[in-house]
Amino acid sequence: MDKLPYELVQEILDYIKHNRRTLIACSQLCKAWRHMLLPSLLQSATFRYKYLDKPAKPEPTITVKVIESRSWIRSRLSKLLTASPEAPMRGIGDAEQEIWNEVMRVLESSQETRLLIKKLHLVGVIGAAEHLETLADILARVPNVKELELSSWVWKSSGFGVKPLSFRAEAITTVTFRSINYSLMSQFEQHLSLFPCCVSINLHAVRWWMADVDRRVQPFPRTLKRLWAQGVNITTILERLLEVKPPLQLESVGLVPLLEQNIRAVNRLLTQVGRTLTHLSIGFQNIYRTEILRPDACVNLLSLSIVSVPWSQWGRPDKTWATTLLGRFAIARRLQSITIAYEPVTPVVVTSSMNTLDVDDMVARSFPRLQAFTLQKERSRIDNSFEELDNYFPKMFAKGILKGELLPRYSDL
Amino acid sequence: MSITIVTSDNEQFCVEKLVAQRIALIEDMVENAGDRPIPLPNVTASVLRKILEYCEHHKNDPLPPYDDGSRSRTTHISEWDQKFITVDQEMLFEIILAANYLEMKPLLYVRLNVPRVQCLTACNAVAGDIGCKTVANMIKGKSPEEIRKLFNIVNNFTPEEEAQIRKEAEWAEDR
Repeated sequence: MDKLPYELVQEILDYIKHNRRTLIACSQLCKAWRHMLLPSLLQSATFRYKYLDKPAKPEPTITVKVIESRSWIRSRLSKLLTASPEAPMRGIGDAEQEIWNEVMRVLESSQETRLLIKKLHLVGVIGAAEHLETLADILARVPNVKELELSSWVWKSSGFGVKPLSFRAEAITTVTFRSINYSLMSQFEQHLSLFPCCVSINLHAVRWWMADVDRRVQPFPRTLKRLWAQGVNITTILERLLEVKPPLQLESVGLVPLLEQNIRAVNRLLTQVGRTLTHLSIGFQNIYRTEILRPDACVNLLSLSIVSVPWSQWGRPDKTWATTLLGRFAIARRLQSITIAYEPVTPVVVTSSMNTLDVDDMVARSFPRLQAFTLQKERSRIDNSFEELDNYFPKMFAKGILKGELLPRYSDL
Repeated sequence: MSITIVTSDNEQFCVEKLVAQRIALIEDMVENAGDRPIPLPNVTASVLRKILEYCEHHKNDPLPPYDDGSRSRTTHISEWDQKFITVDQEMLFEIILAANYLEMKPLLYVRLNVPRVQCLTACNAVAGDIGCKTVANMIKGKSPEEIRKLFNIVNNFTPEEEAQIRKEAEWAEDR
């Protein structure tokens, strides 16, 4: 093998570049191979602490008496109690420290490794307020990271007085928060403030128990162009979005689900960002409430998707309704793609499970550049019970009826 | 019409022109050499014999399309090629090296009339394609120790480096 020139070894490695396990094995052969493979191997790094599911040290005992029989409510209350400032922190705190130390050890180990990391994914870390500094420490050690994902965190608070940090991760342009429970919204905003140059923020199933915020602080960076918020308290997100001065120049917005009380704020947002907005996805708890949308300024919209969440009591949206709704968007003469769907999944996923209808005359007249119009044909047979829903989507994905990524279930929140 | 090729161990091969044209290096040399034998000082007779066997079998195949870098990297090898490449390891690497040296694919740019720079990328990507695929298949799914043993690769990490690498691999694997 050592007879082969560098470019031929590269050629061989090119055939196994998608087989991560083999790639890792090859990187451990000798220094030359390691040197060749490190860049492709470490572009994206994940720290996953699975044992957090079963902490080495027992959780502090908290007696939770929940009369409600639904499991998701029980689990939510249990989380709430665990996350409250009064909850005992002993035991868990030690385990957390151990985890953070471990992450730091890996990052301290080799500068070569650290500089190669472009995407960082921190999974399953239980956070405490003082660990914001540790997160900043980690990010300072990986200065080339452009994309960051924080997922499955429980951000416990020991109080309100978290020291503000001067550190800013200015290289990071995309941040994803997934399945994170904060005690306070201000903690979430402290996380956000670490990324002042962020262009894209994705929020999936992010929760805070108290929506207190520091009004003097603008949480969303002025550079923000794309925002996807799903399973998040949209009301407070909208409030904070509208507080940013000067107004944001958003290009892509996804808000799922929207409640009726949010419509006014959404209309304000659409007026504010209407000129720059090209992609809009909205999920409604009651799909018929889309009638009160005022997308009057959205003249540059290229794609629109209306997704409804499953447990609302609406009937089956029909073509007449769809046409009425689209009438409201008639201002958007540049629209190229319209998707209307039922399920609480991303529009991309939904599109694959829907039948395309012929674009009728009205739609064709209103949207001369339209290339795709999809309307889900039939309502799925889903009961409004959470138990049904728990099983429905995994089944649909398993059967291949729905394709793509299964997003966190609302009942998990 | 045939061409005479002389290998590094002085063996002469009389090759049909259509077959030899699959090898770009020879095709280039034919023009300058006239009727004289073409020397290949970097290829032994046993290796050339194998390469000519391959060219003979594929002489009527259409030329592979230009590779713009997006070509899919499957490790599938056809049945005949599989049989052809079932050789000992030393021969396998000799074939890969020879295919690289013989620039078997610059043929492509003459025929497709694509710029030479682009073509060279394509050539390098395809040279010894089956050989590289075979080596990749041999590596797949094996542990570092097994791969080292298979290809006589010397582990030149210090014990500390090795421990560090193992640690990093644990989380790199869990991407």
